[in-house]
Amino acid sequence: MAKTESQVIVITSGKGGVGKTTTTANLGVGLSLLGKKVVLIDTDIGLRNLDVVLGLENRIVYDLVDVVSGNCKVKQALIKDKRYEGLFLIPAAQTKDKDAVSMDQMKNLCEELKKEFDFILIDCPAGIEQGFKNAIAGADKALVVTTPEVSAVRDADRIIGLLDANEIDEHFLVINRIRPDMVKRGEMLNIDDVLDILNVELIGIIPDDENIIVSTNKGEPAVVNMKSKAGQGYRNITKRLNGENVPLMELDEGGFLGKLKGIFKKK
Amino acid sequence: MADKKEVLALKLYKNGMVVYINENVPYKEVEQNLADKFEQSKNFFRGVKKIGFKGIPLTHEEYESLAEKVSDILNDKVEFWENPETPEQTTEEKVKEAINAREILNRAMSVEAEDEYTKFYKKTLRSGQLLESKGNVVIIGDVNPGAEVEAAGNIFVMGTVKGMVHAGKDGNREAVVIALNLSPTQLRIADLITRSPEGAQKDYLSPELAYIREDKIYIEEFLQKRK
Repeated sequence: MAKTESQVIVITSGKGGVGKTTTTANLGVGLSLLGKKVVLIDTDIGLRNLDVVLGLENRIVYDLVDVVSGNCKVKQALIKDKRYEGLFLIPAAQTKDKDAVSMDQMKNLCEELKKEFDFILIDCPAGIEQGFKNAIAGADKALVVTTPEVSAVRDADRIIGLLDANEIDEHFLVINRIRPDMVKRGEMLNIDDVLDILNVELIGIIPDDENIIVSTNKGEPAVVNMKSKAGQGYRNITKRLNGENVPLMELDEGGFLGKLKGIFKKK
Repeated sequence: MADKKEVLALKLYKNGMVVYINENVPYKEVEQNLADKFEQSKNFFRGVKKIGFKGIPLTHEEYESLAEKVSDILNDKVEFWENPETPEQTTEEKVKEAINAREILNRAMSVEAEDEYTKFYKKTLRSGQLLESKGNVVIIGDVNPGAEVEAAGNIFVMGTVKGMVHAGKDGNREAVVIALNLSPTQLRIADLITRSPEGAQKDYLSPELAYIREDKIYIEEFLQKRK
């Protein structure tokens, strides 16, 4: 086989605002930088954002609804990101709603894309309704994004339950927006607290980073920024998705212990 | 006034006066009417050097006689102006040569005349909203990013366009888009697509017009800059 087996990964969280779209964009760019052929699908119909985060908004002609309803060919709706070789986006429709796409249509689309792409990343909308069901319909794996907050963790737990019920057994946790200083003071849930509650495999942690806001506004994902801590976190996840064995400890050092070292240096 | 047909219409130009004559009126009546008109407003017409006629074909003698009559009334020599070339004609020709904003607009509006449907929307169109029309659209408000306007005819926005607008959706390449501030995510007319240039931010407000010429979408300032 010329290319490794395709992975269809849904990025989901339940709760809104924890960083699904940012994570999708960064992992997409990160994987393309590893030489992979990647397509990102925005399933957040009516509240699309992934195109904006990637800075591709003004290139949209056809969208996900056009594709699944047969208005256009899949190829026509794929927006090629000219900055990153091998990265494509299928944007969500903005003026329709979630019912415009069905689970079967998503399954078929993912199957078709598997022929072409190494990675198919699906950006899932918040919530557990039709949009969520569509997003997970064609997925083999799930990345569950959460933040170290009780409400986000609670929603992540609910999502993991739903993933299990839908027979998506391979799910991995991304803990986003960790603030080591707050964890140290005991004001924020630490990684072990979250893992105790959720009891799933951790694939990466992303420290809270102001660069994310800057890069999101500019349409340039943080993963390409070598100085960004969050970018480092995303790079580590992409490597793991690509089958490389990046030890979690190293990640901890980059995110958590690294910050601890920084604190010692200040003193 | 309304039920009575006008016999004559007078128009004053730089190089003379032109009398437009209603075709369906007999010569005698024309003569009488003209005399009455000039009698009424002698002072106003004083100084006219040339007089021409348009409308019905008269014999040369009839023309001469009319011009003479006017001369008599005004108490001044008024020359007969053969084949008066009115400024209207000349500007019309000029406009045809140089494509200008007004002409494009007129063109667009004359297409619209066949299908007089126009939809008015009096709010700002926000992300996720789609405004469709089988005719024209007039929006009194902005078109925000993520909002879409699709019209078979023209699109007029009394505000800022930052979203997507598509005029002439069914293939009408004569359709235009006019906005007080035009910086769309994407602008489409018929089958053509264009985008705002990257990073180009105007620091002043000026109405702009988008139209198609030779398979390209052009955007130009709608109002001529005052010097």
